[in-house]
Amino acid sequence: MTHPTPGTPETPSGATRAPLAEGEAPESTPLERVKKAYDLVSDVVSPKTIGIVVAALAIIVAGLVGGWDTVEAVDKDVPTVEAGTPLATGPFEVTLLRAYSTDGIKPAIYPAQGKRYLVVVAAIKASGTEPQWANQLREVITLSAPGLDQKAIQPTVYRLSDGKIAGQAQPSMTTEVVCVWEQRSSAPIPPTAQLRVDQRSWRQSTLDGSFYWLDPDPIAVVHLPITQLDRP
Amino acid sequence: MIRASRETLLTILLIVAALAVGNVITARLPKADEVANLPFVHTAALGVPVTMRTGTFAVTKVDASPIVGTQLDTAVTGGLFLVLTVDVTASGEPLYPASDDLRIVASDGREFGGRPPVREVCGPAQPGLTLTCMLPVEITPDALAGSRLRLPAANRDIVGPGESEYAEIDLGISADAAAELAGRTTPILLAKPTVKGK
Repeated sequence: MTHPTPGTPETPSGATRAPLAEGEAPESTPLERVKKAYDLVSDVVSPKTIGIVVAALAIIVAGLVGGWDTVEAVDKDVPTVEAGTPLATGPFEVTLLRAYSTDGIKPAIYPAQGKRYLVVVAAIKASGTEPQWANQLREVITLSAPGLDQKAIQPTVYRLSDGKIAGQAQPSMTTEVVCVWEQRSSAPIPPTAQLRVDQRSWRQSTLDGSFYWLDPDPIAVVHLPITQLDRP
Repeated sequence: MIRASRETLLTILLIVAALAVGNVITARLPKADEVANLPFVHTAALGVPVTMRTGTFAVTKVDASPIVGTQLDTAVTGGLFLVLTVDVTASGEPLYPASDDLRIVASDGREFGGRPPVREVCGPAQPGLTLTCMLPVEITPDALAGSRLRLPAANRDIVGPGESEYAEIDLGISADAAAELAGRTTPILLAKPTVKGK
């Protein structure tokens, strides 16, 4: 190996190169070339301005290639299950049993003009080791039917055993409940009640730090044939 | 390359070892927050009064039925209603006992309680006057034996932390007593709260 002679320039890698000829300028690094180019316009634009222009160009180019187009939501395939299938929804294990249409079921549901009631009977059992509010059932079951009262799209939940508004569902205890939706009597009675069942997760809310059953995720669809119930 | 002396290596090892030991010790020691947030528990038994900051409470009787009612309303359960007769004496200011927040805790840790489907509102208990109330709790028969009542000192506020002071009262239900309670079918009429001695 030859050692560099004094006065011979070294490249950064440590190898040596031939000395520069008279009048020959040293090779410039890429950074020096960029700096030289910027020096040509530095009296007109600042680095901040250049950054803004580059960002704007990126946004425009993204839009030109479809980056800002509306993305269609991906429809998750939700399985259809038979009536009577226990479903773990988070707060409860829910089993949807049967469905009725009726003008009223005294003393819990009184007839009202212009209204009909779609009723679903379900069995619920609180998950875990603590009681759960039975009206949380409203958050995990959704009924699709024409003419539902949009101001009361969630059902009212009653206890089947005594007609009381369902309070707390106890752990390890199956309770039969009745979920009641209001429908305009002018709307047709659907042949089946199409019910979507969601699962929720117990987590801390980012809004107030409290724990709730959040993040509904559809897990099943149940179709219950609707029977006319004449028991006002 | 830096050549470390034997002393330097030993020092580094000692520092790492000290940090590791310190980390283990710190993890095992209780934190100030944990200690401050520990619940304040009073233990008692059936018939024995327990005094908390809001008043004195005593469970004097335990009954059960699948049907409970008031003068106006009736509730039916597929399980059982455990009906507790409780004497409440407020201290300092009128008190509504935490009847919705109380829990019957089974021996396996399951908790039963919450607002019952029918009830006579217990309260207000006035300071110095003992109010007797009947509190129903819906429960499964297999949770009766060895169960205890967890009664908070006060109702939980809508906002803020949960109640940290409560009484754990052993209801004294043996396996035989649980079987006997589970077999009862006579409906129980929930009496209105009454002041003792009146």
